[in-house]
Amino acid sequence: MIGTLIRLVVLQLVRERYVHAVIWVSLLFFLFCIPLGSLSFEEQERVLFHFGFLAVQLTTLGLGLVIGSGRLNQELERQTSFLILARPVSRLQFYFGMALGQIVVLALICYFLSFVLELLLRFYVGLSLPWSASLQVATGILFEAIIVMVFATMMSLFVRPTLAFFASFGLFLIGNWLPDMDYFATKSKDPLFIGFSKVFSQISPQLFRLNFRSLDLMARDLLPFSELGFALLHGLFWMLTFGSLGFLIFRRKDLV
Amino acid sequence: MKPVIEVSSLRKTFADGIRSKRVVLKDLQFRVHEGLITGFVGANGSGKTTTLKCLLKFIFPDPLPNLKMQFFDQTEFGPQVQKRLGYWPEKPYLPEQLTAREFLKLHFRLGSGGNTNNDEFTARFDEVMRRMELEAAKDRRLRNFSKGMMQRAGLAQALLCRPDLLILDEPMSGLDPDGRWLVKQILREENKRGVSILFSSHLLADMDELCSELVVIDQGEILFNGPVAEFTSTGIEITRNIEEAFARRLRERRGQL
Repeated sequence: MIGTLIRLVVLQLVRERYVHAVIWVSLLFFLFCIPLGSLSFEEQERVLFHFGFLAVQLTTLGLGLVIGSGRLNQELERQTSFLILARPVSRLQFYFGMALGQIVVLALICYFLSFVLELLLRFYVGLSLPWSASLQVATGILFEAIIVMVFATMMSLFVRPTLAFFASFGLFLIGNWLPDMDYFATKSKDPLFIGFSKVFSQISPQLFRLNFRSLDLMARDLLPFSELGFALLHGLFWMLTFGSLGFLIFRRKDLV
Repeated sequence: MKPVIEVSSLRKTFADGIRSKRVVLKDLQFRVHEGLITGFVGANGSGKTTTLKCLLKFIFPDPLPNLKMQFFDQTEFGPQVQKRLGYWPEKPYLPEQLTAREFLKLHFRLGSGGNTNNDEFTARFDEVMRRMELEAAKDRRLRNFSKGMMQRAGLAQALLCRPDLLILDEPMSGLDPDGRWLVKQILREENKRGVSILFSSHLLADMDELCSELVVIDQGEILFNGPVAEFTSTGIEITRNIEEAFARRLRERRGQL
């Protein structure tokens, strides 16, 4: 059942025009990276790598936000979900089928774009990094986008899609700015601010951990396995948390 | 005759603002009998769609101790009931990016518990598309379907897994006269095959033509449940059709006659 639902979501999403448009914009951004990188004599590789993956991140994140905040809401609004729920499909299967379908689409797009970027950098510019570096960065981007998407889906169950979109974007910003908040809290020496910062860091998804692009990847080649593993486990924990909370809301929601 | 749907003490309350509540279904009690076409009639906002959504568990009714919603011989609405059910909601939206074939194939799998037998699907798909006069649009994207075609594709979806019970919410709204005729023909054919049908409609002339029994609802209360002949003939005068009987009963109830 869940497999059929995943197929339904994937077929629909890969044919959506806005998905195609976003992918094209991302590919154009890659091309723009080449003259941008040539402006720097010493850091050409770093600039290209960084900006290329910025395009992948923005695309995946943007799609995650749009799909997460709008898709389930649209299914409910248009009553297309009723056709499925009238079949021998439980709400659990429906919710997770939809979520997994969306995750599959995000993964396809994220890895496809990363692969194109990798080819461009390797064969056009002559990038010297190992393939696994790109895989690592792409996986971090994907995990981050999935967390934001699952959160947006949960939010869209009780607020309007626009609000769910901006709330999820807020989560993305907070998740990436936690170290900055921690830094300012330490600098301020205010025990209340420091305490708040510590508590807040513990109860928010630490998305900066998944942003391997912004780490000194170029210098170290690859992150140590333990650090990578912890970041991915942390991401998985938040995906499951938001997914489960979303399902608990959906399970008893009146689909008016 | 055995009831295929038996409902009693069905109440639904919605929050109306922060403190107040609004009761939209007031302890409904009705039956839909096996092998009959039953019309579900009511004015706008009377609670027809909410009732159907409660039956299908899209909306959860108030948990009254004597609440009963029985389908066939099952006391719980679950996969056993859903496998025997065909449903088409009020608004004719379908996943626009899919072709009719893809859409129905997915529903065939969902409705038959993951059956991936392609030959079985193709035979059934060809049959429902022929009956719905959509043969020329089998591999066309649903986004290119007209409203009438959408409605017929939706009905094809409801009939695909050979249901024993059809629940249709306004199946004829938005159809041209030819489309309405076709849908009525199909409902008659399905009924001859032994399928029990519960459908809501504003078009009382269609009810007159098709239904053997009626469930009439007004302001969240059941006004009548029984054979059509009984509905049109009770009272001092014998009315000519359901439409007249419906108008008369509503006015009587609201003290306007």
